[in-house]
Amino acid sequence: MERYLRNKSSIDEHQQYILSKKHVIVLGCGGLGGSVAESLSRIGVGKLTLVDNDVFVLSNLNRQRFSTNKTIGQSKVEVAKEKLFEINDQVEVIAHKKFIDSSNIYTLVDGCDLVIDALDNFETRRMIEDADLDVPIISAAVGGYNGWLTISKPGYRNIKHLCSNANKGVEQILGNLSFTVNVLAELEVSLAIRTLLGEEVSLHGFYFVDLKTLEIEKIDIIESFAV
Amino acid sequence: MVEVRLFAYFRDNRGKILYLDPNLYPTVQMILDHLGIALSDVQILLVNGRHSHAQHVLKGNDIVALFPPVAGG
Repeated sequence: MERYLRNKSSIDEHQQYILSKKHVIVLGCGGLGGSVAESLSRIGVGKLTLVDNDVFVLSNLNRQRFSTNKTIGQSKVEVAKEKLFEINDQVEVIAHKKFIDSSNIYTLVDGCDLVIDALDNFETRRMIEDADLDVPIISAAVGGYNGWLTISKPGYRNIKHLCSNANKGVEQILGNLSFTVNVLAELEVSLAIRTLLGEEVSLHGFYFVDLKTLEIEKIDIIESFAV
Repeated sequence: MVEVRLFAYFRDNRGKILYLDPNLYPTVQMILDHLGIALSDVQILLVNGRHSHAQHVLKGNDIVALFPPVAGG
């Protein structure tokens, strides 16, 4: 299919078919989530579920993919669904304008192959890992010039190491920069595609990204795989 | 010497990696005090790749890594 011609041969025809049968849920549709959803759509993941209760506000315009002057006040997931259809009408997109909590996480994730954590707070990140989902969670966060990326799978957990008791981090002071958000979002997509294609991605710790020094450092945490 | 690896804004005006004498700074808390970093600003404190605490007594060749909390999306 010509649409995916430039995915080849990094992604071959069989792998492209596999991706077309996959269902990914993106939790949070702001900076990270909007960019992740667009990339997953362009690369050809067959079905996306987007979950976010927010509407676009002016302060989103510096970084959030589907925010424009025209979409201020509109539901992030509804706008994303509309834009994703314009990008790739072969991808089924389900939009849920709702909060994510322990009462709905299992229903939301049911039938999905992979969870993308594109949330903006520790409490919900910790909750989705504590839910013991039977699918991998790819997780990232940003603040200023920095961000982290990890994967949490059945049997071991990595997100808990990165979550403090406070609900927010240094982004409250240092802000969320467009390039940091997009680098971390695309790293999530890279990890997502490898995982969806069956590559065993094992990580006991996380990757830390510094865009001042242009470094990605793998941080191993001993015993972090223990549940 | 103890190798101290700093991450994110902890690097600002301090550098990425510092080498400190454990005889002068025998605990993580003394390193934090020396660097002017509040323990409450540290989310992840690793000594040799394991979670640790401020009162950890350091010895030569230990590696300390300090990360602030990052949660934004």
